[in-house]
Amino acid sequence: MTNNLKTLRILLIMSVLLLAGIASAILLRPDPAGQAQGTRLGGDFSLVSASGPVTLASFKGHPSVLYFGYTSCPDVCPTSLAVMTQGFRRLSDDEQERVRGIFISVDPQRDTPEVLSAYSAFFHPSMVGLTGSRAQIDAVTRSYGAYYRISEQAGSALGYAVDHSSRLYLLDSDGQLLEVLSDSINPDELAAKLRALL
Amino acid sequence: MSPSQPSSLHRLATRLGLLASLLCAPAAFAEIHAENGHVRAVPPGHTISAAYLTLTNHSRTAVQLISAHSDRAGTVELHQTREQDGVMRMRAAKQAEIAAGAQYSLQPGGDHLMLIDLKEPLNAGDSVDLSLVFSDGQELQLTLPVRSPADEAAMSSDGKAHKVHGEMTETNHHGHGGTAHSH
Repeated sequence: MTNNLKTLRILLIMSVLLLAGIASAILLRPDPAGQAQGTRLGGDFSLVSASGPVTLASFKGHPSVLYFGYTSCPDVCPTSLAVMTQGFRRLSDDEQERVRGIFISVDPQRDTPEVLSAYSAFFHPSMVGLTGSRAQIDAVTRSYGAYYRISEQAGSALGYAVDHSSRLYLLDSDGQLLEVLSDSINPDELAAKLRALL
Repeated sequence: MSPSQPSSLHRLATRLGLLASLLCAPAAFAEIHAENGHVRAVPPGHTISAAYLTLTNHSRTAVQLISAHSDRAGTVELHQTREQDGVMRMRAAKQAEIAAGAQYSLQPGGDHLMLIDLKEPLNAGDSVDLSLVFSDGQELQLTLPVRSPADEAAMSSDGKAHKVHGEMTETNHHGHGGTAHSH
């Protein structure tokens, strides 16, 4: 009888300890909302276009699609910018005037603001080309979670290539980064996403 | 058995082999056909572009595409884009092998012929002469249409194969009846 009581007491203590453990685990676990806050992508940048300094605020009022690349990239970048252009072309003329394409070059050595201006306009009149100092480019790629790296090409007349991530960043008219999209998104889908922001 | 015997036999075999290959050479030229080719239009002042096409090796032996040339560009190089962990890497390649009976597609996001140091603008609607040289000595002379990248995207998003009959012409350098044709 005393034995049974003792066992019961031990079980009771163990249960209490177990519950206390679970409770403290729940209370002390890292706050997922807080974590997401810390690593949220997007945000302001400071770059230059052919007509002067540009920040994220320059695009206020314009739903935008942002892309990182370089103009000496004849394959991946034109393919992605063509997807963006196709998405824009599915909008009405009025809508096309209100959206913005933001092409940020990670190759300031070859891509001057003037080169970028002609290159972006070739794809769509609502597309602008931006670049900046190495430090400015590093800052904006870091805040958007993009990647680039200069890669010397000894065997090529190109001299060097730039390895880079290839994503389309959808921003609303307040400059908030809403989505990071695949560079092969269907242009209809991209147009629908933009239209919802207009 | 003298040690020189196998060696001289070997030499004889090599010579016979060489003779045979010389005699058979014309027949051994791989029949490479090109289709669906185009070059990307570029904005004014831009000096780099890409050519895409599909090559089919109709012969029974593998061949390598070893070089390409165009009057419109200072250099033409074979480049390959590969994705690794979300990063696109473009590298020059010395050559590309096309197995017997195989098709080799140079298409956006994969392999392309990179035209470097363009001498004049490439506008949509222009055409570009391009010659491809293969390891067996065969040379393809192509005339490819120039297309805007955005129109190219329109075609692929429609899910239609974009045949370019009447736009791309192809002639075979060796000119023997069976392989020389034009679309």
